[in-house]
Amino acid sequence: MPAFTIDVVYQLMPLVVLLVGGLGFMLAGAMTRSAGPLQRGFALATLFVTLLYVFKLWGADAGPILHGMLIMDRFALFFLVVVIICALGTILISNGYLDRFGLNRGEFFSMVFFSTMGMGVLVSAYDLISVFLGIELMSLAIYVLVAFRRRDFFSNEAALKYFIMGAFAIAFYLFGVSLIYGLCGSTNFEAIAVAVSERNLAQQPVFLLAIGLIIGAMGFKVSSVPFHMWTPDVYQGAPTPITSFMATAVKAASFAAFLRLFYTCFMASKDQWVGIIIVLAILTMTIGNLVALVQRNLKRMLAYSSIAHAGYIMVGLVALSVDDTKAASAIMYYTLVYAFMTMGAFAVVSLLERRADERGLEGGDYAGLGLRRPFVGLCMAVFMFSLAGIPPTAGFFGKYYMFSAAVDQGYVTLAVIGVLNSAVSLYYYLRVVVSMYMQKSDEAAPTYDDYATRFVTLVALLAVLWLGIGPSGWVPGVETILDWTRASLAGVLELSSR
Amino acid sequence: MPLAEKYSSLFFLFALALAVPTIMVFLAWVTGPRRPGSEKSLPFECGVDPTGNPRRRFGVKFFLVALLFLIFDVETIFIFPWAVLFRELGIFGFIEMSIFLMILLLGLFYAWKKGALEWE
Repeated sequence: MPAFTIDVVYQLMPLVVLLVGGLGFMLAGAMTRSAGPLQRGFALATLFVTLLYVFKLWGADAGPILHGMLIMDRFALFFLVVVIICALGTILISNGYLDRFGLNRGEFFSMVFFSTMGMGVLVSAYDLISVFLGIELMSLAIYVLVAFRRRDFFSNEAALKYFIMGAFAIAFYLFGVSLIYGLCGSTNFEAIAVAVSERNLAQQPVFLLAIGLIIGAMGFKVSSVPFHMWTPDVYQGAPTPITSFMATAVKAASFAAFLRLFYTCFMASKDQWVGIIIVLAILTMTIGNLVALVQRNLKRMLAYSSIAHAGYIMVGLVALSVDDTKAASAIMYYTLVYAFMTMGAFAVVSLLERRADERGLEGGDYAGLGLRRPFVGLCMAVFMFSLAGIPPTAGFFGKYYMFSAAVDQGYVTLAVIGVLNSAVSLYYYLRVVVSMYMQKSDEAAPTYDDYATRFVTLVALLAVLWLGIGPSGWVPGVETILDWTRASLAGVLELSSR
Repeated sequence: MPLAEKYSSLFFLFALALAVPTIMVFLAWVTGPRRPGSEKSLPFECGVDPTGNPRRRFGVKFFLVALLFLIFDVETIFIFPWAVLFRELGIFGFIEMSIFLMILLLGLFYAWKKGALEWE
């Protein structure tokens, strides 16, 4: 087989390491009763090895491999790094959490690894079928992880809800893919791009239907508004480290596939589908923010805030353009920044959460947190400022790049709606800060301490500050990261214009 | 319209398939005598009087067996075309298949270790 050389194996190494890690932890789950510090150490080490392979692959922009199923270009590797950072964060956050809730099993790590591998397939997919494969591998493991608190009613409800809705969403996706296959004669991204631009498919109503179905399925995965109903319940019911994983990694990987699919395949017919995305973006931002205003539970509030942020990222999808990579690069930057600030916020939440049978995290649980636990409170305050988009945090710059890209492409109204939405979101983010610093502490509400979780909040804090204003040096600053995104997008565009 | 011409026979068949049973059911409903009785309103179970509720609970163990069966059924579906094309695929196909089987075997080992194969 000429298509399968040692070079291909080398390019697949990040995925192979994740697969081996997943299988290994599955066996560990079968052999041992509970996962000790040794297993956690192994989990972190495996992720670091994966990261090492990713860094080794960076720079050599390779073409599609495995008969055009996957492509390990810089775009894929960038998102792979984001996803692995999220997985690292999840495992660190889960350190104390799993013990506290009696969930300490090897299977937890196994499922995180399988899911991360699925995301790896998703971000490097170069064929509609491998997108499907990636989504399913990612989601099936997530369903199990959501139900990991298996004696807890809410956890089970969340998993079932997510599973059934996810099955529907993927059915819509497959229907869309079958229509695309019928129109273009191929599921390969390159072949679709050629067919779309040469055969003037944009005039066919069936083509629009196919794109609509695919947008629906992708919209479900990134929790965009008409498809967002599952988000608050699932985010609330899932164990907090997994909520963090869903809000960051799943979203980043889904947006990666969304972006690559539309950037390589459907740009020739942008006029036809951009209207759909504009409506979705406006709805997602507005409804996400408005409903978040009235949430009392911190986890639910963050769930609606993650919906709103999906809306901001969709503004970038609207502003996509072949001539200018500004919008696409803003999306990539935003996903990275969003991953850090959300991960940090959920790390703090995991320290506050009480046992499963008590539904904690209502207003009183974090009142006075800033005085009781100065460091954790400070971190949470910075994450809230960043999520609201206040300078000099990275959240502000993410929004700035996103909206300025939209203005450049002439979508001024959309950018104005986005800015107004950010203003609305200030209210509920700052309410948390106010409650942490100005309300009386409820002595009955315990907070837990865990060094690994505190480490995550520290790293996220530094990242949120550094990614906004940090100069490029030994640690990559804003400019370096934007350069990386531009380089990866240049690779994507070069392939699609061939 | 060429589309309508090409598929007109199909549309006709569809319309016919819809019309015939509708007309038959409608005619039977209009012309037939109706004398409902307690005997007649029973659900039909091959002529035997119904016994008990059909929604009975049964052991969750069956689900487990069905799940394991499904996995190995799918495995057969993958192995069969590979066996047919064994010579063409050569050593590459063999290695690919071995990896696939190894992963499945690990899964079986996991299920075994967890006691999924024990009935009691």
